[in-house]
Amino acid sequence: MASNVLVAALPALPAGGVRARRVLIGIAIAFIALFLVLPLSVIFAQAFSLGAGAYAAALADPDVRAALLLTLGIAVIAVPLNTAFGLAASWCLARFRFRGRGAIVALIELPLSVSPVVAGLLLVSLFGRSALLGGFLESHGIRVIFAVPGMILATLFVTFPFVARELIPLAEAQGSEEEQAAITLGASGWQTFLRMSLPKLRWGLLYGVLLCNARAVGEFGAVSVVSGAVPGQTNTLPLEIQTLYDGYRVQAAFAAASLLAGLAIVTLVLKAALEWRHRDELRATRRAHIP
Amino acid sequence: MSTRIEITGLYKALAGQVVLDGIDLTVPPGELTALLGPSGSGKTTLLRMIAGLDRPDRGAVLFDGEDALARPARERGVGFVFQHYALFRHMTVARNIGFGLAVRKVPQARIEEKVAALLRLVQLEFLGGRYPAQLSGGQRQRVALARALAIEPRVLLLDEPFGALDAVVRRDLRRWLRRLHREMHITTVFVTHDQEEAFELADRVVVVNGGRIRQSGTPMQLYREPADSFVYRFLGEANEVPCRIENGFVIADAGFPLGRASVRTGNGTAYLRPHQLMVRPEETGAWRITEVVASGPTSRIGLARGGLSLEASLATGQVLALGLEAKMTVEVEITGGMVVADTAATPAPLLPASRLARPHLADRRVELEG
Repeated sequence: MASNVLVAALPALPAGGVRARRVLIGIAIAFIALFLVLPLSVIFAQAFSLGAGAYAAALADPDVRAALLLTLGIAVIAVPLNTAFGLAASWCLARFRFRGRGAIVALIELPLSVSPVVAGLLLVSLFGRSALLGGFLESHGIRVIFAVPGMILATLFVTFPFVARELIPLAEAQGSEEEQAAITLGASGWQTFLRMSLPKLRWGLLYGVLLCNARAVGEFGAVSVVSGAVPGQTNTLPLEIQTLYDGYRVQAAFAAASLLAGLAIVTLVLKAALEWRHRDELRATRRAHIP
Repeated sequence: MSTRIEITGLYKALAGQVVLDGIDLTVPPGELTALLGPSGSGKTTLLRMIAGLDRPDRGAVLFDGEDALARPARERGVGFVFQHYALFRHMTVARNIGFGLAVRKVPQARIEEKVAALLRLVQLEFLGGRYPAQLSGGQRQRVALARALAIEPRVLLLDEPFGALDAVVRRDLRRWLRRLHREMHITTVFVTHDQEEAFELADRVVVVNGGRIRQSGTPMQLYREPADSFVYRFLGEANEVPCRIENGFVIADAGFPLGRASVRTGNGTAYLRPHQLMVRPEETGAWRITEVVASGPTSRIGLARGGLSLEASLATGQVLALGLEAKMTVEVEITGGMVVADTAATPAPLLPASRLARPHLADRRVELEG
């Protein structure tokens, strides 16, 4: 709302300003078309280059199906865990001031600045067969590296910051006065969290979960190091796409890629639909936030 | 149903800083009490402790004789209105007001009934479906109040309730709250740094400074018999005049008499409110007007005599009628004030000396009696 007031208060642009504005908008649109819309259409064009039948056949391939299921399975485990972590971290960091708080905030961001490949190697060095921890687990029949547990760990590591990063500044900006008010009105700690803190954060939470999910589904580097890339067993969708592409099955690779692209588009549409449905509430409650 | 609040020996230190230094206070049932003090005086901390949002290091808070500190905030039955209202921004006005009932698992129909009644009470019948961000400051304030009242609190606490509002809204809300309190009769404590607000609203005003209660009483008592110079100065603008007292006569260090006081002798300070100085033009007068600043219905007059500067306030109409303007020579009559002698613990009222209009006479009398 504040931004509307600001826009209204701006003086009218002179004629030269109008031209500059058109040029800038034109550049932005051209850029989006070139780097976002074009590649996305190319994916679908390539996927259907041999006709709808070939497309369906590529998706019916058991390896592609297994990869899709594995990808979704890993996301189903990693996203809720990191969501719970992000909520706990933002709750704690926004409310309490303690020694080492700054260090925790910085550490949460670490996975973003570390190359995913390094993250994968780190896991190998910890859980590999020759490593202490890995050897111990192996002797108890638990295989981490070159197996699904390692891939889940890698995904957890890489997607660790997304929800927390979205929520911490939001929780900090909102403060805890509303929670205090809820308590004086008779709410228990749990009621305060469910009815106050969670709803206050829910849009940030939604964006965080979407980002986290997108990364979990699309992660390549870290997962590729620990997966061993066995088609039908430890290949996620991104790894399967590479396997197909390396095997000169370009159309099949693009068909699989279209699944990932489709997932992204569905997510975007869902988000837009949610925002549209709750537009009144969003307009009323949003602050400068919302990416 | 009104609750008596008794507070004894409340003490709190934060990071080595004493915030509350032994507060003793009783708020009689149904009374409207103001905690008045400058920022950092500890008044808000005191309020939060009554609510259970902060804990004291020592001391007791009793509601009708039972230990309130033993109960957590959520069980104290306290309605708290936060300075910035702390409305739940993701909830409509109606759900804000009904929140305290909803968490108590009151049936939905009963909640709706009660919310409707409260919306009527705070005169916001048609805004139940709005979100807090869509309301004006005054409306938010009233929603916060309705929300606090919904749980039928034993005690109503308000932290700077009008601080964030503009002057006109503030005045209207103040009167409205005063009426509301008269009707509901809930024991109410509010915090303010604005003496005018405290005086207009409260049955009793408690002046707090440095974590201690400096004085408490009715607005009239405080105004007429301030316990010390802090209270006096905090309750309104005051001219401070260094003076000496000789046999009951108060003489400014600048060399002329101010009036009489029941103090015998010694050095001290006289405090004169601007409205206690009567100004009239007099060609042979001892005072000079340094400036006249008209600010609405009252005007400030700067006065000087023998190196002493004072400020008087007069009705603007009177200033015009008397034709007062800068550089004019005038006579000043001091109609009242307060004297604090260095030797005395309590201040004494400054009484007008009837002959002050002819200062040399009073001067001579001082000489005679001295």
